[in-house]
Amino acid sequence: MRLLTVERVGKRFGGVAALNEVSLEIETGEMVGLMGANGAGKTTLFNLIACSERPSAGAIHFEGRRVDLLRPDQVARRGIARTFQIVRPFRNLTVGENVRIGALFGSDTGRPDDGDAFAREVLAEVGLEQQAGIFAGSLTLSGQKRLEIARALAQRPRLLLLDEVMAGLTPKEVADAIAMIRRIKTKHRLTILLVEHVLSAMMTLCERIIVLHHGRKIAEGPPETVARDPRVLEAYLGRPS
Amino acid sequence: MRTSHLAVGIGFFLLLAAAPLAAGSYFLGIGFQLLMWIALTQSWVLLSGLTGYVSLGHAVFYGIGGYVTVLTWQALPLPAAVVLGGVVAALFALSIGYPVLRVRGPYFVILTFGLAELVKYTVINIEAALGKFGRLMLGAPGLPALYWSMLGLAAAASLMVLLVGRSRFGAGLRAIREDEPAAETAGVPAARYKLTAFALSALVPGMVGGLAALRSGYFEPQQIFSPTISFTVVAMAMIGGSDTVRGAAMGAAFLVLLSELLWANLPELYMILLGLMLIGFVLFAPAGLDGLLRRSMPR
Amino acid sequence: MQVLLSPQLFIAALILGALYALVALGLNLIYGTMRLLNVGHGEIVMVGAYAAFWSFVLLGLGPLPALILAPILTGLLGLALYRGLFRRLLAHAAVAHRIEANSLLLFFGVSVVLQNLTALIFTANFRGYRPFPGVVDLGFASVTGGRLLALTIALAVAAMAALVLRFTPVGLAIRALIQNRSAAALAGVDTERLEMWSFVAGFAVAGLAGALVSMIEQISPFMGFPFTIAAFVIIILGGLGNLTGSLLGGFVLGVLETYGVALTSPNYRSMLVYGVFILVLLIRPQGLLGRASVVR
Repeated sequence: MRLLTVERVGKRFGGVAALNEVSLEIETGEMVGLMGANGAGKTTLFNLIACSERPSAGAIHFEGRRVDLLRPDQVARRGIARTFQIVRPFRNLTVGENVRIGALFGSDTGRPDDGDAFAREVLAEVGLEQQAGIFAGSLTLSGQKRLEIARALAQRPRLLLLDEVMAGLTPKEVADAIAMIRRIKTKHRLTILLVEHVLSAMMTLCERIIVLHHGRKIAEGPPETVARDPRVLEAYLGRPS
Repeated sequence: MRTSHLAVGIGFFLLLAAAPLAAGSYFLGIGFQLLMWIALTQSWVLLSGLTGYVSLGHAVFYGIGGYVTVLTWQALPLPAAVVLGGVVAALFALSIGYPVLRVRGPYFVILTFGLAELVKYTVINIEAALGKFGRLMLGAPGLPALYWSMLGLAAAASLMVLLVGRSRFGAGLRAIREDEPAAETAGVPAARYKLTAFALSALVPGMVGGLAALRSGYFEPQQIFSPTISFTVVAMAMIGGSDTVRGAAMGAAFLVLLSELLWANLPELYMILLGLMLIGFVLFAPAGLDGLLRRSMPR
Repeated sequence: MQVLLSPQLFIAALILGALYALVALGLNLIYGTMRLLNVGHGEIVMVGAYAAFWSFVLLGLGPLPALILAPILTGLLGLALYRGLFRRLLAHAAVAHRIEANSLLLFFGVSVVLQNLTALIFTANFRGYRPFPGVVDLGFASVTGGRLLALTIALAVAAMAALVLRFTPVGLAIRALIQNRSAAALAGVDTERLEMWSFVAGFAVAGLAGALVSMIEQISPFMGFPFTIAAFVIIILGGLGNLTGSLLGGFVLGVLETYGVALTSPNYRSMLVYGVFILVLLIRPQGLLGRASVVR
């Protein structure tokens, strides 16, 4: 079943086009990777899907309903959750309270009592159950990245957008993160769209990869095909000399 | 807040409720002041302590409430005039809230101050156009009745902060304080929540303004809309500890005491001390008296 | 309508605009380089006004020494505040918006202290003096010497500041600091030193403006706030670190206020200024920098 449809979406900042006629589709249960150099438009696309910004052209449909004109909190309650490339935990709230916010507000059913139990469960899944009582600002970077995932999971989303959750992690932590993402995807029956600079991780995780370059989609397909696409190699590695 | 604290809070208000039976009118007057500042500071905490939108203009709600009560108290039953003051203040907050709450951080602070001043000068000009230079209010009820009403408002405001703080609504407000865009992304309807908090935070000050006008028996816009009121509320909350019920009450009590000692004879000195304390607490003890107390009493 | 065409009114608007531009210049410098929101800026103007008034009346110094003494005094006050309070704030607060919010509360505390200290020492009464009561005929209008002096000095200082910022190495360093602090530091700018001097210079210019104000208007311990408000309107209008912008903004506000009051009544002056202030903030809710709140 089709979960997300992005239709010829464009985004301009002043005279600069950050995204140009980008279309893509995501089926329920897929894990799709979004690839591209810095400034290719990946984060902008995330912002549009999460309604943090409005597209200048085109439309976005989620579960058959148009979402790009909604507010961020409305689209969150419809079932889309995200993490931020530069982490944004609620620093002066505890780790537990952070996740509780997601549980209380992520869906329309949130009530204080069932939020608490669910928040504890989700914290355990990302390995933060021991830290529930400390302030989010005092977690390590890797801890804050996991907290963002936990907060997003607590929203009970159907589509999860992960924005570079592995950047800055050690190889061991990357391996753990890959395993964790697989685990939560199965457990919560998620569809995941992810941006990652750790290419090996993306190649391992994703069934399909979409490549953006200067705001346009230049390739799409299984990891091994995309990795051999000459346009992708040129965009990513520069012109072969 | 644990149950023992709640018991202390209830005991505190019960004790104050019994005061008119024993205390003379001098002490009752101080008690009235204390309760008034507790009510105002708690209301401020509901907005600014929880959402981080620091209002430096709460005098506007106090003033509007006072003005409405002054205009209507002879036509309406007294409690209705006071309640109407609160309702009009809350409606005012609702009507300006949407554009005002889009302004963030320090700009919100100076905007609220500017708004309060604008309303003050508007009322001054209206009164001048009506040919009124101050209004006497003869036949207002006596101190014990006003005192008990103020006690009710202080208790209501404290209870409101307590309940909101524990609710889903309160959790959303705190998330807005920490990072508003992230809160929205997590599903918090930020615009609606901020507006609700703004209106709730204006309701009690509106009624307090009505009671305060009745108590002074005299209405003068320069006084009732004075920025000193806004400033004092912020100072009380900062000195007490800005997002707890207990902190607000402690800050109010501390400054009411200080003002009782100094205001009558040395108002400038009082204001200077207030300014110095604000500086000291911002730099050295951002969690206020409440924070100091918590640090000195390990759980 | 006749009144609106009077050159007298135009000169009054020009004087007010020049003073506003001068006050906004200092605020702009302090906010631009350090993100400190000086809501007590008007009180520095007030301190400058009292310094000039008392050195003239009490110490019997001439008006020109008073004009030098006032900025030195407020500059020293700036140095003391920077060393005592704000260096600590800048060193300890990691997050930018914390600096803005905390600096606002600190400056508010400072402004309350200054107002009431002045009221305690000098009483809250209005005071005034006229060092240059003679009237100068400019051909199309005549103004008092004090007003002409205020206009000339304010314009000269604003022009000088614009030239310094535009053409000297220090000016370049300040502009770099305003644009990007860490990049400026990497490029070899001693940011901490520069911040301190910007702070002192901002205070000194405000003190000078105050000294000029004292020669044309009555002064009181509570005269400062309208200047703070005006300065904020101007730098929101004119743009951060944009000196030509704040010069222009100063004159726009000066004209708006002078003609607005002439058209209605002096009673509406405060309403007018606060009204413009609120409108400007509502139209540009993201504040002075025009930073869009883009989620990244």
